[in-house]
Amino acid sequence: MKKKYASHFRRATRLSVYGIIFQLMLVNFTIAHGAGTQKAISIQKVFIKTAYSDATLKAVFDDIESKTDFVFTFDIKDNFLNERFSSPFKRKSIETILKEISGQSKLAFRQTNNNISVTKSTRGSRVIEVIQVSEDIEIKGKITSFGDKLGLPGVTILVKGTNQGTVTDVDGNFSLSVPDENSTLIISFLGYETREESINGRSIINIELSEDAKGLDEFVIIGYGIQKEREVTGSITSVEADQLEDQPVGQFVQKLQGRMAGVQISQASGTPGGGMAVRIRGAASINAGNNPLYVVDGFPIVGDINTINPNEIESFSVLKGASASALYGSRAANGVVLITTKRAKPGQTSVQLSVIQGVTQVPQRGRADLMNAREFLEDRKAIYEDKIRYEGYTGGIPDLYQNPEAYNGPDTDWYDELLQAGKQNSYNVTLLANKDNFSSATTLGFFDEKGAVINTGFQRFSLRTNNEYKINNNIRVGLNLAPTHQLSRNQATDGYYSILYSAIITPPIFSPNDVDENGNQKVSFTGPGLFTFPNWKKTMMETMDRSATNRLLSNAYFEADFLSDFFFKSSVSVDLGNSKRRVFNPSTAGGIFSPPPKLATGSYSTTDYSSWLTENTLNYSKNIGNHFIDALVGYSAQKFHQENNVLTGTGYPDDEVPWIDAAAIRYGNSNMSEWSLLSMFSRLNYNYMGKYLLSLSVRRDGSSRFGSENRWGTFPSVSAGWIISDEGFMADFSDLSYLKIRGEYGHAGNFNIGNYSQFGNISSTNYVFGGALAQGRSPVSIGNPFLTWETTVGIDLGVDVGLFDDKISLVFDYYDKRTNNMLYQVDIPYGTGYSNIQDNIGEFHFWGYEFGVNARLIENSQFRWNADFNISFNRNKVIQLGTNNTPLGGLGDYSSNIWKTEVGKPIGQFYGYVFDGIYKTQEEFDSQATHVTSSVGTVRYKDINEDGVINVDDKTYIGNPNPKFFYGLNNNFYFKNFDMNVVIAGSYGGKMYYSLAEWTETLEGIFNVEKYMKNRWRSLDEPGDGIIGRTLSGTTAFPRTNQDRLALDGSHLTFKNITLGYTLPEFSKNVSSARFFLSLQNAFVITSYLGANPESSWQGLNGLQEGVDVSPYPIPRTYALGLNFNF
Amino acid sequence: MKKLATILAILIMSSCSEDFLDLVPESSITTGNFYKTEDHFNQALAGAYASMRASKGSVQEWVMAEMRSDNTHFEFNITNRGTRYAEQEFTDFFMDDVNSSVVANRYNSSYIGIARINEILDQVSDSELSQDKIDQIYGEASFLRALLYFDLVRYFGAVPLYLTAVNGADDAYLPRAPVNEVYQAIINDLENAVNFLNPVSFPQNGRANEGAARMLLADVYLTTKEFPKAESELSKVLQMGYSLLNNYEDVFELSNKNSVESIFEIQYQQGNQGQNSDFLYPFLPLSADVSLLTGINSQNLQGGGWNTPTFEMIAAYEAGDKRLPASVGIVEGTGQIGNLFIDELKSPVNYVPTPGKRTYAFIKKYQNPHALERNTDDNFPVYRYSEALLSMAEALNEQGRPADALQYLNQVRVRAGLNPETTTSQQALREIIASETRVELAFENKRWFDLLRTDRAIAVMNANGEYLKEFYAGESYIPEMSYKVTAEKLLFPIPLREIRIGDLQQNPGY
Repeated sequence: MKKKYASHFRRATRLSVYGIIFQLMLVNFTIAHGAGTQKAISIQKVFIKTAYSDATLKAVFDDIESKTDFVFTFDIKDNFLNERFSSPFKRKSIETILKEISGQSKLAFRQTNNNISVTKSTRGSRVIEVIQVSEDIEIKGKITSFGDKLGLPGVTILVKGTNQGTVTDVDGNFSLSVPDENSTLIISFLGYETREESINGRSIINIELSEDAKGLDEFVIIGYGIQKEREVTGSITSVEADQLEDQPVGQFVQKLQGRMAGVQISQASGTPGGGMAVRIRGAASINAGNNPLYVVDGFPIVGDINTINPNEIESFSVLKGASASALYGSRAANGVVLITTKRAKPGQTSVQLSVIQGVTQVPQRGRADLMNAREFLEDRKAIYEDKIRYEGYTGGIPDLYQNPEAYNGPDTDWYDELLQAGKQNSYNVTLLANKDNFSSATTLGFFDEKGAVINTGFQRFSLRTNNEYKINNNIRVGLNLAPTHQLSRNQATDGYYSILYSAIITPPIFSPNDVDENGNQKVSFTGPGLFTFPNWKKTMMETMDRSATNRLLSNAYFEADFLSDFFFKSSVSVDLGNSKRRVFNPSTAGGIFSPPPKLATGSYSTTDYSSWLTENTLNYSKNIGNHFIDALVGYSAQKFHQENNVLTGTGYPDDEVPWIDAAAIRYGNSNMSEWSLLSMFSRLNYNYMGKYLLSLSVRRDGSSRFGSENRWGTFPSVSAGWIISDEGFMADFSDLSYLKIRGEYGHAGNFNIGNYSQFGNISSTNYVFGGALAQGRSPVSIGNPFLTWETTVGIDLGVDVGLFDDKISLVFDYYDKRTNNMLYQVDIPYGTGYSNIQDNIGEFHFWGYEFGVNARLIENSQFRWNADFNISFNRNKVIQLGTNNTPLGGLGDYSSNIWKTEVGKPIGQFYGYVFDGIYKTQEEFDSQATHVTSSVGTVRYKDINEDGVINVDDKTYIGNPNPKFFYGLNNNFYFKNFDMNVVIAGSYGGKMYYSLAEWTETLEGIFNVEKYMKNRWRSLDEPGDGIIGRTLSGTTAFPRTNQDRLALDGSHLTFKNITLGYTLPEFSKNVSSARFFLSLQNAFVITSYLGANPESSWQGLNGLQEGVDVSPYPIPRTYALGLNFNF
Repeated sequence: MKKLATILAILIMSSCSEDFLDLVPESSITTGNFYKTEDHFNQALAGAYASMRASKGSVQEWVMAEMRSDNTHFEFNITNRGTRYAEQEFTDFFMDDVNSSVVANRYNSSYIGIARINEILDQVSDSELSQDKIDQIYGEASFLRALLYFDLVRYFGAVPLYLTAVNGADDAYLPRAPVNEVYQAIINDLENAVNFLNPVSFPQNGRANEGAARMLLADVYLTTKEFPKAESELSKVLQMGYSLLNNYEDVFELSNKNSVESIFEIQYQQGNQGQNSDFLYPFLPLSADVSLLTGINSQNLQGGGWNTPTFEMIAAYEAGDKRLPASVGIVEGTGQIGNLFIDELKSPVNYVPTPGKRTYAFIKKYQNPHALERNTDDNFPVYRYSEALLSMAEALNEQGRPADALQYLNQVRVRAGLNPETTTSQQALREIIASETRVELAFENKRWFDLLRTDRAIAVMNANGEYLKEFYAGESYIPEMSYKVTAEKLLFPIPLREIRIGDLQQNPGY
């Protein structure tokens, strides 16, 4: 998808110099004033008294316009305004004056009503022409933007074949006299399609202009600037936020799913206000993370990105390529996401109101299918029967299980008990004003989500105001402020042994409303041979975990154009944030391993941070003949400071007072951390004739995070492109409207190793001597003064193609990058007293392909359909690991530790046993390889190393969680006033480990289990389905270890959003547009995967540890009704 | 243009200073600015002592040194089959494998302490502290390192011998040093410690002193069967002013922490400073209300039911032994395993189970008053004077001097309310001393090492396995393959991670 920037180049204030240049280049026609509508008098009959002495023609025309009703129109490209003209003082007709000018400057004039068009005279004849339009037709109308239905100010409207025309006013209205009723209007506006509209006798002509999908006029945001899309040589994807506005979601990242090639976005969890994971081009690092750098209006931000109200955002640009991102130096290795917030367009004054109200509900698909009460009791009975039969158990079958048929107690679906019908409401008001010297865009937002899980929710109050004041034509100052206040209520709903993970296995025979002998609601449940389970619903309702976050993102700048080619900008950005979190676990709340009642505990933690950036950049851009040069130098300093305080309390006498004050024992921690970064950067963009493109850049970063011996690093890049379609020899290929090839090479770094890692840290380790506390301190890590960033060196080769007048555009990219000097906690023997040492070692190799297509499939006045599709293939391989190439992981038995990363193999694959059924007969057991705990009827894994014994040496790779490819498909349909948008995202070929089975397939009989567990091995005669083994003591742990049977195909196709909209016909002068829509978010998922969410991943998209589904917070389906009003 | 470039250059130069990038952690101290002052060394030494809690004072220690022996077992809890449970059970069952986190934690925690000590020993000799202070630090640190290596060599056999601080990956990889080298290092450390440590003075404060070092050295010599050397060290220990308290029961009273009977113990203190112990709770039954046992409003639904004295152990006490009621308590109640409703606390002396009640035996030594749940004040004993006496008896008897041994043995017996022994048969006395040691030091994490030292582990533990399998036959949870105790099982496996990362050789049988 492309970004059309030219229409509102003012947004990119930093580079308004570009705006000016391109405005001059692209605006062909200038209309001096709106044309008068009254019946005109012939120029022969209008006389003025005047004298000109070496005046420019501009001055002459201005003079005539000021003294008469006539208006001159001309093509600015003709470039005659500076020609000089002299004439003595005298009363003359306009015709006479124009004749004099014509003779001197070879110009032709043509009067149509009050309009005098001026053209270069090509022939000698008829330099003055007067058309008496007796039947002049008055027309008027309004030009609006197709996207947001807002009036477009400054649109040029010309009568075809004349220089007669006008421009729209600030509301998009115009009126014009046309020579005859069959005239055709040419309506053009920078960045929008140019339309020709026949008048056909109409007197009111309202037109919607679509933004221009053609390549010529598009701009993209790049690091420290904007660039014409055509001239971009790096790999960049961008999305305009107004395409995304209908989605009822709280985080902007959710809206980007499926939109961009090369950008993998997963919703790993449905937690309100969280759960999203982003990974660009398969980025992975062992320890330094793989989150991209987010840059908001030029400010690389450190804190949470979810505090940003999606409605404040105007566009996203994702810098994927090695050179595209390289200008961000030591932070760019994982890609860079540039976010631009809303600005008012020139001449625009409007109020936009957007309301979305939705209800959410957790889909049935993918919920675990556990036994109901009766099945559960029957199953327990069977377990006891087997115990008696095989193990000499003498305790008898407990009464509870003896007669399942007669059971008439509760039958609880514990998962369902924790869900509720959620709500999602979003309100946004945007005020846009750009008049005179002042421009302002203010968005006020409120987002409120009531979670789909009980006692969870999220609220965000946000304000952003972006203001710019023009001191004069060359100097501007701006101030942007964006405060947010965010509240969330959470529970332990994600991760291993979370409430949702654990509640599922609670036997259905217990009900959250069960009471004890005193009539109080039970806090925990147990039964014969059963685990003790907390009353999850009570736990959920009574546990308090509340966070409040305040943030102020602010940015002030000064910018100046000078010496016509220079542009200087100086800015200071500050990000202030604080959050507090209060947790209280009453005595009635518990977890799976800590059932209540237990002592109440509480904590209160606060975090305050500040991050400031000061930045100065100087641009020089100039056209010298066919050479275009754009140079940038810049300098920036950034510092981050954070303070954390945590108070924990235990020993509460009761649950009455949840504050720490009531706790008998209180611990406090308080600490701070900081980092700083100094950077110098420079870039040169050069092109010759607009078709041979070159870009060079270099950045130098110094960071406090790195060792004193290795503090500064340099990140160079180069990229080049060639627009082949502009060459003469391509003229024959008329269907190929655009063809560009490009290549890039660059270095980028990753500095996310935490602060102070170069130092060996010392922790407090107190002791007691003689009954008195003795302060103790001990080293807890080994320092490394040579520590430095990890470097990713990459290349990218790309092709951009436009076909059929750019109705179809294609992008193809191939990339290849290597990350080396990885920030790596090298595992060292524990004999040293430490598990690892921070070092730069190891190398990963990444490569892949991306393909995108954007097509305007159908375009006519009634129906339009456009679609875009993208697909990405990412691959990787481990080249080198720690000192001995020791593999990472692969040691654990359970899915919390299932991954192994080994040299020569892709990163982070599942590692475990290969399931091979069960030993159904004594003969199978006797003749086949067995584990030390094996028995007839127990699980059989494959003897991979064929040594006759099943043990850890038989583990092997059992699946790769990385998809073979992921894709997105986005369709837009417009039919009359209706519009429809369908967003699809999916992936193919990645494995997902169904971790829940570790508990829902337990054989000990202590949990509720999957329905199919009753088909287990009972005896030689009843061997079951050959998948589930027997319940014999001592054999029941091994069947739960990591195995390929539970590594399921996670391929999926998800209808992320379906929106149906209707725009009301104009009904009031006060409302410029009104639209209603129905939006269905997370509509449905097509997948064979067993679990609810095939995007689920315990550790997000972290590369090394992906694809383990721990039954996180479910992703609700949202049914929303929205409306947009523009005033 | 030039002017602007100048301005820009000034802007850049003025703030582009390295100071901006030199950030050190304000709220914590780093290795770069530590080990400078006497205070620093005192703190580092306290940190080395504190490491003992995670190694010698840990859950793993009672799992591996007590529960693995015939003294204790556990209450099988069908309702919790988590890995942590299973691994602790497997240690009891002699089914540990290379993945056991119990074993790995015990291994790792020892080395964490050793690393702290190595750092102190490396740094203190270059420090500007007074010689007295250097000696004292040197002595205490050496003692602690010897204590840690002594455990390692007994649990794992040959282990990597790190004797200097590791500064980077280059010096991180050491092979397993032969057992005799490890013992030599231990003895070297203790000889230093004996020289540099302060003599014993009372009241003691929990720091290592000459007495502790000589006791440890004697224990080492008993283990290596160098009995004359052991005798020599013990004879000095016996003259340092230690004595037995009058009542065995009093030894574990909170008021007798670091008493005249104490030679070395791991220090704890209840309260909110994070110095408390909590090992009482794992020994108590799983129950929603254990206030009858703790004296305070408390529950024990997490991690109870461990290290329970077997009835064979209870029977091992002679009739009239005052140590039995002081060491073991019996709880009766109803309800299933996982949540016992405690009715009554009973004495193990002549205990007869009440029909219809569940019985749970627990270690009573550490059952002391405390104010908050899971926040106890008890120290954990490492060496007591009674062990010095019993060790002396053993050293003398093993040298063929049973008659000389009797006086030391009988001091312990008499305090327990038993008649003095009179036999002078070396073999008979060997049995008696072993048995006496078992009950005197019961539940102090000594038994497994004693069985190893006296070469009786294989026979005793196979017999114990048969006993347990029969005793719990109806409950069907002891796997068939358990308690197959061979010579290979006398060592624990080196943790898998260390084998892989350190390229170490595994012990045979794993």
